[in-house]
Amino acid sequence: MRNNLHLNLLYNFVEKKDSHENSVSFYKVLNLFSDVGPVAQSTLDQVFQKFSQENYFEGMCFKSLDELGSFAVEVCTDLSAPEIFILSAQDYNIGLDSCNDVRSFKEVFRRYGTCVENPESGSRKKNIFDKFFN
Amino acid sequence: MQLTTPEVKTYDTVFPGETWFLYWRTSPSLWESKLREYQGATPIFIPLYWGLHSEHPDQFDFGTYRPETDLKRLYAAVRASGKEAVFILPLVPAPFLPNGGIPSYVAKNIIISDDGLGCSVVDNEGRLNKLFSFYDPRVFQSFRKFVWNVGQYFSQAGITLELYGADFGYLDKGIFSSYFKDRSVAFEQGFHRYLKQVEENEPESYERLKTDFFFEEVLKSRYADMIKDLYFQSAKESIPANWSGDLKMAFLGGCPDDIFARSSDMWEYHGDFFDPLFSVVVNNIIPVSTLLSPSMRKPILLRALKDVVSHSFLLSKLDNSIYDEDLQVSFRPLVYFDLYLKDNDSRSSELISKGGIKYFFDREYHWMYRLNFKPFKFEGGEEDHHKINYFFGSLLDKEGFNEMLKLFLNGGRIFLDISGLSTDLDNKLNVFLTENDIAVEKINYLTPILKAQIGEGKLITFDNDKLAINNTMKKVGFWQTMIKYLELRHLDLQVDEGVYYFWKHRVSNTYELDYEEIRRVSLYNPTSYKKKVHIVSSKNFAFLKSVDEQNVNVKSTPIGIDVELLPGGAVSLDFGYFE
Repeated sequence: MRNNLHLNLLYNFVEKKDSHENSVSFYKVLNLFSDVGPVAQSTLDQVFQKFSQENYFEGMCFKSLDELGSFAVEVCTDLSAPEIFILSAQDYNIGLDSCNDVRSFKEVFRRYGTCVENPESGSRKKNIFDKFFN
Repeated sequence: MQLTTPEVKTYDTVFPGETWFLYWRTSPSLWESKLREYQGATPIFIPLYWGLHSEHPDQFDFGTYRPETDLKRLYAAVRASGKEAVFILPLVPAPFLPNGGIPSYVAKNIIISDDGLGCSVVDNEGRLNKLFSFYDPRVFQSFRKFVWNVGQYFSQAGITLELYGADFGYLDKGIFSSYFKDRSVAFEQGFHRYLKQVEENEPESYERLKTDFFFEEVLKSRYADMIKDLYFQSAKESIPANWSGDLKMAFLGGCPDDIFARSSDMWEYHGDFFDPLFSVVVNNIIPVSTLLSPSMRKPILLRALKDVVSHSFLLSKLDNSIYDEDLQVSFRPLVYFDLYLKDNDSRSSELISKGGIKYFFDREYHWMYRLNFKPFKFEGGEEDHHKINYFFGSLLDKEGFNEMLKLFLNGGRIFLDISGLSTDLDNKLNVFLTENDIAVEKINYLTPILKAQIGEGKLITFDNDKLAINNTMKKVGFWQTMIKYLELRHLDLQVDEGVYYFWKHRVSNTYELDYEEIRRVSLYNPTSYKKKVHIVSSKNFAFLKSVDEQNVNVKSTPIGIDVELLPGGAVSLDFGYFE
């Protein structure tokens, strides 16, 4: 994946009953992608391993938004992406309501999402070529 | 020998894909000439656009106010053009129309997916079509009025064109999903009302809800089926003279998740549509490409669409028996494996995955297996000697089990997964084998296997759960051995990554009596690289000819056929099959 593209993360808040009939709630990652395609599953698996979760359900689930945010930053750092836009399903639906075409849809994550910058991208040493090529 | 066909015609917004004619996209004065000029497969599909004919509540326009709504004139144009055409009435949201085709005055609740996302689809011009819930009672009431008015109008105007109700959907992980599926507030409110009925009429089911968490999903499926049936019945009863049946249609690029890929020029790739196209066709569903933008409609994809969505394919889906003779001599998809699953049963997807069956098929018999979600019914007649049938014990009831045994007695070749088979049915199987004095052979190979044979019929039982604990390669080895035992006659294809292929077959004609049937494999290279395909020689097959060569080199050698496909290359190869 090209590392100069921003990432988008779409998640949903889920409340369910587990196999013991206990109510559990978590934040589930629905999609994590950039303009060129989804982030490779191997990358996601590798980063997800660092988060010790009691993961009863299929997919990548987190107990809190903070953990989800940390995961997003880790992926961003791993891929050297400049930033990641985190958007909930509810906000996605609000954004979708205002879209009529592909062009406006592409702005939904930027307009309605929470932007988290890659902490390592700011500290990167700049040189003369960055002015032309970035 | 090489045959060629005419070039595929360029993009026309009135004919945005295959046989679809969107009459409102051009002036009525051009309808006849457009239809006359059309050279693709027939019948032409003319969708009825509810939102166009009813802009205001209780007001229906069939040419009174706007000429483009004049269906009588359209019917006259169809007759004058001499082309075969049918009306398509959407019975669920239509993804190629704004608001899913429904009038804006009832477009209130957007469809919500299981993941809580609003359902929106990108059309061929980059517009976002939001799809709205059909569970809203106001939508159903308006729909009933609309179809009643259509029926009355057709009768008064003398329109006799056949009309098919359409269940539109898309492929989601290889399985057809209808746009009727919804988890919006409108659905949940309707389901709540349904639950009250269940509480009154089926107290035992209501009680079960309290103890069986998964039973709620079963009831939701039942409720969804019930409402869907209301739309079907309402249309059928309102337009009885024209009603000819219902069709399942799947839109390429129509999966709600496709919106992310399809909104990015750097992500969307025309090669990604080959897999859903072929999967749809083998599963007896009509593929529709009307959502694809002109930039995605590369010649190689159009060629594949033209190859599979043929006149005979469409006729076979319209279920018209007068065309049976034509169908016999036309190519149709070659399907070796029929898997019998259960509609709206979440176990279905797991059952075909855990024992490695789906992985094995995708690896070695891609686009040659069919997932059936309707209960199996043995209909007599001669059993297709290629076919291998898979049944899963956990999904079988007594009736389905009896039908399976009938198939076995009539020469069917069957795999039965006994994990989850009820004790009753397990006993029944043992009694059946003993009473009919059928010799059985028991072996252990990754799972206990029982092999029974009577005449041509073969029944092999296995335990999917025991198979599941093995690694992928062991599972593949297991299925290879099983298929080899059944002596499936098939040509081995070695293809480079990125090349797509599709097998079809037809009965031999009077000039081909040396062969039992003719098989055709079509190869497509949508990539920008040169690719190779090798077809290994087999003693039961003779290479006959290559058809429609396009940027390819085909070389026949004693060990097989070597095909070199340049970027965008495609070819079809015909083989005669003999015993």
